[in-house]
Amino acid sequence: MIEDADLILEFCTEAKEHLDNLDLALLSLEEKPEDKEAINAVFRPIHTIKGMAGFFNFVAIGKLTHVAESILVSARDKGIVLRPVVIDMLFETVDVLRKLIDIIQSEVSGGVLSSQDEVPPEVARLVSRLELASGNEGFGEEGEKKLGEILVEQGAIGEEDVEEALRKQAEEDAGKIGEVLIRSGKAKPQDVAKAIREQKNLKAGESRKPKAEEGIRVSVEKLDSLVDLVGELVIAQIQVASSEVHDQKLSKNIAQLSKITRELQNLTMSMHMLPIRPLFQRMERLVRDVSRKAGKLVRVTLRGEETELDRQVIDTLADPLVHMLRNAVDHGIESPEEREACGKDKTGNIYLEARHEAGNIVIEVRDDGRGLSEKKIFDKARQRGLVVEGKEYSRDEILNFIFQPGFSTAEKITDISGRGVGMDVVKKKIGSLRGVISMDTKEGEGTRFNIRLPLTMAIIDGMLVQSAGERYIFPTYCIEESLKPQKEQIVICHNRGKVLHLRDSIIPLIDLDRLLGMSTSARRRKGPFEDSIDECSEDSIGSERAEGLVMIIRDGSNRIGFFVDNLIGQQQVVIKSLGEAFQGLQGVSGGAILADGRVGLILDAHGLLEYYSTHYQGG
Amino acid sequence: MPEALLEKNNQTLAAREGKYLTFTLANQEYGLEIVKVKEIIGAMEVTAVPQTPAYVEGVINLRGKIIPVVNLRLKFGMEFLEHTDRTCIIVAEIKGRSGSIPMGMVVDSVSEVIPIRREEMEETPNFGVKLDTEYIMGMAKVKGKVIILLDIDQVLNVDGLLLMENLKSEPDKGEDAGGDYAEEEEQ
Repeated sequence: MIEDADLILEFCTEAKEHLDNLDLALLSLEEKPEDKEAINAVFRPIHTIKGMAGFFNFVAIGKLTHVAESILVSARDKGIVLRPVVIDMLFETVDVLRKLIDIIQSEVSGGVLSSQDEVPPEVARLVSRLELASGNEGFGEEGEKKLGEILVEQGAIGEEDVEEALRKQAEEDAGKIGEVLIRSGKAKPQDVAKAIREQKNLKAGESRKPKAEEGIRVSVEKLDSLVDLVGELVIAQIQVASSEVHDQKLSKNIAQLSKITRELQNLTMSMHMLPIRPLFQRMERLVRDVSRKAGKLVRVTLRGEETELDRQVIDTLADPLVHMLRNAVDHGIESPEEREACGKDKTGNIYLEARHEAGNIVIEVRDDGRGLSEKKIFDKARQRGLVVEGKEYSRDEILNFIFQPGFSTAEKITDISGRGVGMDVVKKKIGSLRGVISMDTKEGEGTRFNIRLPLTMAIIDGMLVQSAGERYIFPTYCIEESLKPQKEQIVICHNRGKVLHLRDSIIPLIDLDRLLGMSTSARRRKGPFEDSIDECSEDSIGSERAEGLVMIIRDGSNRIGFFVDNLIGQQQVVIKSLGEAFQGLQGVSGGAILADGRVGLILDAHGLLEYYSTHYQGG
Repeated sequence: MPEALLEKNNQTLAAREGKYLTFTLANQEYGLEIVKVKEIIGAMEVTAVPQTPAYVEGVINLRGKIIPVVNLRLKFGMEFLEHTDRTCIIVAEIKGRSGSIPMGMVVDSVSEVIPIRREEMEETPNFGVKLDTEYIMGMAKVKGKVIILLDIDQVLNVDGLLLMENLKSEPDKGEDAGGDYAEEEEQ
C-alpha cells in the first residue's frame, strides 16, 4: 500500500480542477497580457499546485510549477508583458502537469507509485525552456507589490528615485525603502503612508479571492443514497397523504409535509447537476490549439456556461463536442486569406451555447465558416452509395446524410479531422443520452448544430404498461404510437409469428411477456433448473393473442409492435440501476420505484429490438 | 501427518465459531453467519426480471435501492412454495465484482440467532460425487437438531443471476460496464 494514497488522490482531483481553471485564466491572459489581475489568476492555481506537490515531494511537478511561477512573478512585479511564445509555453506547462498528475493518479489507484524523485526528460526540457524565457533571474518569494512601484504609479516619485533609493538601501543597510525615500526627501511621508495602505489592501484582496466559491466535496455515493432516501420519503408521504384523514389540523400538517417533501426532492435532484462551464472552457482551449495547428484565426464565444446539466451528461458530451469543434475549425472556418477574399472578417467565429428550452437543454455549436451546400452533401452521399436512385429527397433528408456512417465531406484527410469516423458516432453518443442532434447549414454563411438533451439523466418520461401481471415502463421518446388493431390488420405468417399491417407498412408483432420470456407465476412453478426463455415454437404461435393493445416502438428506422395487457398511463420515473448482478440484461435499461413502492422495469427499445432479432428472426 | 491435518481442521472449525442466523427450508434448519446478514424483511411482492434462471425471483425496492432476490428453495432444487406470512427475505452481503452487494434470499421462515461452538460443529460428510457440497460450510448439532451451515458466497454469486447467453453477448454500453465478461465464463 502507498502511504497517504487517499491524500494523493485528493491532491490529484484538486490539482486537476486548478488546471482547468488555469486553462481559462491563460486564455484571458492571452487576450490581455498586460493585465495584472489576469496574471494573478494564472499565478494562484500554479502556486497552490506547487505547494501541494512540495508536500508530497513530487519533484517534477514542483520544478515545473516553480519556474512557471517565477515567470509570472517577474511579469507581475516588473510589469513585463508576456510574449505569446511564453504564454504558449505556459499552456504547454498546463498540459504536461495534467499528464504528470494523470500518471500519478492512475498509479496510485493501481496501488503502485513509481519514484517521483526523477524529472522526466520531457519535463526537464520544458523547465529549461521556461528558465531561458524568464531570463534565469531569481525572484523574491513573496508575491506582493513593491512599495516603490506603487509610489511611482501614484506619481509621487520617479522611477529613477526608486532605483537610487534601492541602491542606497543595499549599500548602507538603511532600513525600509519608505524610510530611505523620506529621509532623502524624495517622497512626502503622507505619500509613503498612502502607498503602504494601498500595498496592504492589495495583499488582503489577494488572500480573499480564492474563497469566492464556497463548497464542499461530497462523494457521489452519498449523494445517490440521499436521492434514494428522498425518493422513498416521497412514496411514504404520498401513502400518508392518500389515507383518509378527518382531523383538520392533521390534514393541514400533512399538506405542509407534502410541500416540504417536494422541495426536498427538487433540491436533491438539482445536486446531481453541474454547470457546463468547465466543459466549455476545455473546448475553448481545444479550438485555440486546433486553430493554431490549422493556421486559422478563430474567436470562440461562450454563452450560457452557467447552465446546469447532469454530471453524466457532461461527461458523455465531451467527445461529441470535441469532434464537432474540430470539424468546425478544420472544415468550417476558412483560412484568413480565403475569408478576406469573401469579404469576411479575417477571424472566424465559433459560438458555443447552452440554454434551457421547453423542458430540454439545448447545446448549440455554430460557426460562420464556409458552410455546406445541399448539392455537395447529396453528391457525396451518392458517391458513398447512401442515395436510393430516383428517390426525391427533401432538404432535411439530405442534411441528415451527414449523420450516416462513413460519410465525410472533407476533401483531404488532415491530422485534425476527416478520418471518416464522423457525425454518425456523434449522433450515437447523443442518442445514448436520449438526446437528438440536428444540423443546418448555408453555403458561405456557416453551419449550426443543435443538440437537444433531456434535463436530467435521472428522470425519464415514460408510459407505464401492464403485461402478464408485471408493470413496465417504455420511455416516451421511443414510443411511436399505441393502438387497438383490427383483426384484419394482424397477419399470422406461417411459423414466423405475427405482423401488423399499419398504413402501408408491415411491423413485426409480439407479446411483450413472450419476448421477455416471462409469464411470471407460470414461470416459477415450472420448477427448478429450467431455463425461463420460451422458445418461439411452432405451435405456440397459434395460441398467441391476436387482440389487445399494441405499442409501436421505434429504434432508428426499426419498428416493432408489442402486445400489452393494459396501458396504465404516462409517468415520470427516476431511473435506478438494477445493480451489477443484472448487468448484461438485454432490453431492460433499469428499474423505477413506482407509486406503490414496488419496482417496475424500464425497457430499452434498442435492446428489445436486438433481442428480438437474435431470438426470433432467421430461426 | 494425520495429526497435522486434524489440527488444521480444528483451526478452520474454530474460525467458523460464532453467531448464526437459522432459518428453515422444507423443514430443514439452515444457518448463515450473522456477520453476512444485513437485515430480515417480510415477504413482499417481487418484480420478475427476464433472462434469468428460474431461481431468481426478481428485484425488490429496499428503501430506494433495487436489490436482487433469489429463491433458496429453487436454488437448492426443492419444490416452489407460494409465499406465506411466515416467508421472509434475508438480505445478505454477497461478494460482488468490486466490494459486496446486498442480495435478498427467500426462505420459508426465520428461526433465531444462536451461537455455535466448535464442539458442536462437524465437517461436511462426504455424500459421494452425486451431491455437490461445496456450499455447505459444515454441520452443527444444537439441542438435538442438525443445522446445515451455508457458505453464502458459494451459494450465490453475482455472475450466476443471468442466463449464460446474456453474459456472453454483453451489448456495447460505452460505459465501464463491459469488458470483463470473457474471463468470467463460469461453471
